[in-house]
Amino acid sequence: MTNKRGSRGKSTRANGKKRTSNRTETARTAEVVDAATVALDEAGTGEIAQRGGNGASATSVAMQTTAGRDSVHLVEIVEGVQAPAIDEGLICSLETGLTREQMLELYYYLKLTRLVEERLVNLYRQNKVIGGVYRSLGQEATAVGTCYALEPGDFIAPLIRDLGAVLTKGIRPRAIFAQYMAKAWGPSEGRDLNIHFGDMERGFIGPISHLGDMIPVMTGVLLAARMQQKKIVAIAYIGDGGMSTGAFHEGLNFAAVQRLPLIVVAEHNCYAYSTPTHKQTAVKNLADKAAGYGIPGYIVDGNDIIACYETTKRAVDFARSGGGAVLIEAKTYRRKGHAEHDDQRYVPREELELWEKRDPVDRYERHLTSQGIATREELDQITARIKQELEEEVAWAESSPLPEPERAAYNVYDNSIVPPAFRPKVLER
Amino acid sequence: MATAFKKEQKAERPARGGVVTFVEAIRQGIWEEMERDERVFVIGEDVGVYGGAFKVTDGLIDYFGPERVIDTPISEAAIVGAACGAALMGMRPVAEFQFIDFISCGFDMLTNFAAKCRYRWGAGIPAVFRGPCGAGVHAGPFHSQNVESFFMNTPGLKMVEPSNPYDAKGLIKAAIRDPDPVLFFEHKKLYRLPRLRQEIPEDDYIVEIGRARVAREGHDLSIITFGAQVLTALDAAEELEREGLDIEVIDLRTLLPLDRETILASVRKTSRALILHEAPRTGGIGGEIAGLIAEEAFEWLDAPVVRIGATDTPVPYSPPLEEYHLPQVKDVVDAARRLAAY
Repeated sequence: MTNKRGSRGKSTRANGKKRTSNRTETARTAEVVDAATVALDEAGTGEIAQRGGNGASATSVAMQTTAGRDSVHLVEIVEGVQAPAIDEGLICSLETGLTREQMLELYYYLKLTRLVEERLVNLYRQNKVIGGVYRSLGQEATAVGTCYALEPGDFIAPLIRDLGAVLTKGIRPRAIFAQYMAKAWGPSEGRDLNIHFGDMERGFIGPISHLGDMIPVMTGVLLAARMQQKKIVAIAYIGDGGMSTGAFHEGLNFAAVQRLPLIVVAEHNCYAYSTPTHKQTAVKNLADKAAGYGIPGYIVDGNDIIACYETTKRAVDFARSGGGAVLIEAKTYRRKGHAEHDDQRYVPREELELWEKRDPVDRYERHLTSQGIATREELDQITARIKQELEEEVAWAESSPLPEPERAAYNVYDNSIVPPAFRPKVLER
Repeated sequence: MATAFKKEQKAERPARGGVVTFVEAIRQGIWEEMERDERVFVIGEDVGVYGGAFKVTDGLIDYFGPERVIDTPISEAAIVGAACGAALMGMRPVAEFQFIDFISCGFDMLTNFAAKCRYRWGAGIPAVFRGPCGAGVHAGPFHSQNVESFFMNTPGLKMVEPSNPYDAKGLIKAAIRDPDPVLFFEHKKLYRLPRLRQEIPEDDYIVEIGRARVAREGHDLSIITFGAQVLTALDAAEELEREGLDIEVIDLRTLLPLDRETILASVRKTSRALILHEAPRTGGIGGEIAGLIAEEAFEWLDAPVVRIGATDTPVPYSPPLEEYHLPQVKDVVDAARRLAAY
């Protein structure tokens, strides 16, 4: 087995625990960039394989070793877009602390996310969805796997493509359907779209469309938690596009300065609307940016749900024990356009075909069945259960009325102090 | 709620009430709220050891500790965002902009996150965003602005600007206790103005947000204003009194939501309205108030509604330029005379 190791290897420093032996048996879920290892080592939580760029036009990052095989799949990253690699037969990371029950629960959330979105597309085509539908097809494992590493009291701030994280946090699909259909029974009562709502009880801070803004907000959530002596951590999701904003920088810098337990999951899905990553940033890996904040940075295969979980779990433990903020780059791919209306004409066909082969749901199913964790029948049963559940959830959402028009006037302020903003009567006395 | 940190109590706490300056009144207000409610904390640039650029938070860090008086990087978006996040968690942040001009760097967080959270998912943001505003101290284009009209068109925010120590203390305390985000503007020229020194009560009190004040009663003409321009209006009124004109001065105190009733009651009484503010005239909140009067008090008016603001330029630095830019007592007196004679 061979890993391409970059010439930057010399800056990999004295990582005493750097793994050199028998990588196939100890497939690591995470890679970490230089600054990261330093911080982790200093915190005594090292033991993370590390690899830098090789300085050539293409950076080689070993995304994942296939379990128990004598081969290592390499993903060539050229100008931000992954080049072909052998993907048939790819399974997930073998090294995991997850129990069988947890792995099946993980499958439930992964498949739930896929099926909720498919159902949303159906509703969209029936003109029942008022706004757009934003798919996370092909990147669901990132949202679900990372969020699954959190405890119930922890917080998330998702992006539009993190439905999986929202569902994993315990939000019921009916809320999502009602939101998309602009119904009165949705959590925002028709005032905002899709996953633009929050649930403080479940640790879900409602995001806004302005990318990057949730990083400072989550910093404040954690500052408050520290004052309240709550040992919680939080994940703020961001993408290759959102990392270009000023708010991202200000928020992460502040979180790093304050050593707050903030885990920023950078979902590198290769496109921000139509703009490819190489037009967003000049760094090779989004995780390289961690060095600029003096925090650890990890790279993980975002389509390997076990790896996403394990990497985040480690980051969560590190953060919760006082290590401070962590940046995780999950390399994945957005297989649909920005929203359903977007025909992705800016994407080469071969690229889509390649990533279809890396589908995270197929891959996890292959993993579970080939490793004897679950049978095909058991997975089918879970799927059937989800489908039945979704029938009920959609029916509930469809049975909701649209909001009463006048409800638009309420809740701008606390209405016990400031009255609702009704449409004023003109020249009526 | 248990907080993690004990009071260090190195600093002497300020007196309660007494004869105070404008800045001392605000400082007392924040201090008392921090004592009263452990959820209240201060966040901003140089608010800790330095005590804030204008010393509004002086001594707080020694008394309450660095965990409740948080110095930040130069990152207004992070300051506003962090205050919002903490407020969602049940805290009561008081965020400082070193100069209110820098609120533009936190504009997105204020207008899109803070202002819309309650409306979108019922999550109120009980946070105060305060800072020194205003011109007349030769501080140039970036340390002199009045920003209320930037936010006037953003439902979900409240805006407050006091004109005297009593109101400043009562309003900052009300703002901290308010369940919604409040922008709190402090005219820097007032901070240590000797003529504003005033005896304020020892006991806890608040000034209700949303209520204007009749700063001077009169029958011939209403000057509707706020902040430092209340002094301009009162000076003009005194001069006009010698000419036999009886001027009423309305101190708005809260700019959003406007106290429509007090404005309309005054105009219906005097039948003449002059609106005075320090921000440039075009697009200033004077237009909103004039619109309100035109719609709701048209039949009571004996003269056109007049607006006086700064010239439509940035705030210039050099004293003669700045004086030309800003509304002066003379401008108000001249306009009032013409209005009265109309």
